[in-house]
Amino acid sequence: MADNHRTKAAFKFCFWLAVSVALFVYIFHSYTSGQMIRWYYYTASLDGYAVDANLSINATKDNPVVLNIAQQEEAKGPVAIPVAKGDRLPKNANGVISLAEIKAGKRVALEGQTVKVMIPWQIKEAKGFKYKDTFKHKGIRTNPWSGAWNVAMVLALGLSLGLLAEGFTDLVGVKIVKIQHGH
Amino acid sequence: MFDFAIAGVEAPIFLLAVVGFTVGIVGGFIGVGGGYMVTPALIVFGFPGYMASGIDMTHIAGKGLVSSVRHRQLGNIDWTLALSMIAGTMLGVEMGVRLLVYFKHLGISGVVLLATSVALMFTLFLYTQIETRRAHKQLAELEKQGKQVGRELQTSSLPRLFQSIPLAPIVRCRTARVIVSMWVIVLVGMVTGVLAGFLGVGGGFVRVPALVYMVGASTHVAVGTDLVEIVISGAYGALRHSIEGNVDFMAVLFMIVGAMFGAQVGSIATSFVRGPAIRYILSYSLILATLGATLRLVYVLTGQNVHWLALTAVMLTLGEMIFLCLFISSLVYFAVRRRGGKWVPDWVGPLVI
Amino acid sequence: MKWFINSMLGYWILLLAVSLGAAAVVYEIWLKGRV
Repeated sequence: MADNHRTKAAFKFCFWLAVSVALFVYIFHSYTSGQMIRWYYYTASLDGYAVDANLSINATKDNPVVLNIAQQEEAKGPVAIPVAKGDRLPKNANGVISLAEIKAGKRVALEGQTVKVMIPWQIKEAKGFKYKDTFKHKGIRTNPWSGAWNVAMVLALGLSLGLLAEGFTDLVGVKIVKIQHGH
Repeated sequence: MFDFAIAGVEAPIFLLAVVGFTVGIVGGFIGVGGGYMVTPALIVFGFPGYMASGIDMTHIAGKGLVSSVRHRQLGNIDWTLALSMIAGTMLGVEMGVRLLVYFKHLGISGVVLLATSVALMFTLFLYTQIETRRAHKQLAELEKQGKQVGRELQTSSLPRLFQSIPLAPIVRCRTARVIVSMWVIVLVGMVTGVLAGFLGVGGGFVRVPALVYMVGASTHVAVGTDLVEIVISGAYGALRHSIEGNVDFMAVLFMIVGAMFGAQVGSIATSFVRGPAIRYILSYSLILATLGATLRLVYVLTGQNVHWLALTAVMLTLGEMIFLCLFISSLVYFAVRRRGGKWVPDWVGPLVI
Repeated sequence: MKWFINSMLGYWILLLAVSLGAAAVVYEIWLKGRV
């Protein structure tokens, strides 16, 4: 009788362990293969220039970072790729410098066929904490399906890890007794 | 160190897992999501503010599910209560978010919101602390008299008031051992949802006291049932945040690893204590969160110039997580000692089982 | 010292002191450069 219980517990544990590991590997792979990132930086949400915001992070007014305007598949190197609202973002782009920002001329300036970045970040405040607000994540829209994927993955992980833990305590013989509620 | 390409931050995996672990313990024990601890911690690690909220929300959905599975096994979930609350909660959150947008249009600043959440948390702390101390005293008295004491003792007269509301349909919540109007349950869901959506604070530390003091559920059932709600509202929040671009899933992944272990510890720990012990921990978490929020409020009001205030707020957030875990672990330790017939401090006896 | 364990308030203060100390250590080691 006890053996049967142990066997069931072992099976439960191994099954949910396999599912959890598989989920982990799948999620990790989706990150390392770049799929997760491509779905995050999916389309442009406004008109402007798609850039790799990391390149201009240390720009200053005296030492601005100059980005060459070019039509490219990939935002590799100091380039600013023109995009319109709804366009797929080029690979490696992680932010869009809006035309409005360029028009304002305070942080970035248009000079011929280049975009000059002078003030790459500003200090903003959220819930009483300061943080650096850069061009990264600006003007981008994620693939709405990535939202559904995130939720599905996190719930799948939660369920499989929860049942894995249950299987574990069953296997090692830890008795989890139902609590008697009431006074 | 891991390169979180989406968030654009390099952060130590270990610290993320530890945050997940500690908040998992607390969340599994008192039924909160722990966002008010996690979001500041993530910001300190370098994640942008908007992503800190999104990552936190998403991880809460997963962590809540891990805890719910264990609480189901412990018999702490009343499904009638949980399912009845869902609609009210979802509607409440949506109303709360719209209210927030409306207030923002009116120009009401974040300062007002912060001040409101401080006032709310402090009021909840006072009520919970006072009621729990009364219950603790009564338990001690009963033990002294040699009377048999069960898992729960609650001294508030509010549940009787709400349970006497005769609006049909009246539902029977078997596990919670409560017979109450469905509208009370929906109201609890809506009120807690609005607060969650409006103030951006997790429903947990409002919903658990509401379930105990309005619906009259035992604390254990309030915790388990609330965690189910947290999964649902967390999943909805995660979806919304993901669409807004506020979620770096790799950060969520590492936090869930830690949370998985923490949630086990916290959930199983509830089987070692009586209801008032859980309410005490809840009230401590409220007062520490209030203190942290007050410090941040003062920091913002002084024009963000007094840096030691910001530093103290960070220390308080980290310290709070460690404190709550230590206290919960202590209660379990003392419970095991008592079961073995060993000495425990006088104040511990009535709190553990 | 005994008061810190025998009294609930004392225990609360003891744990808070330990926790804030631990938080200070965590901050010193890992978080100083980041805030």
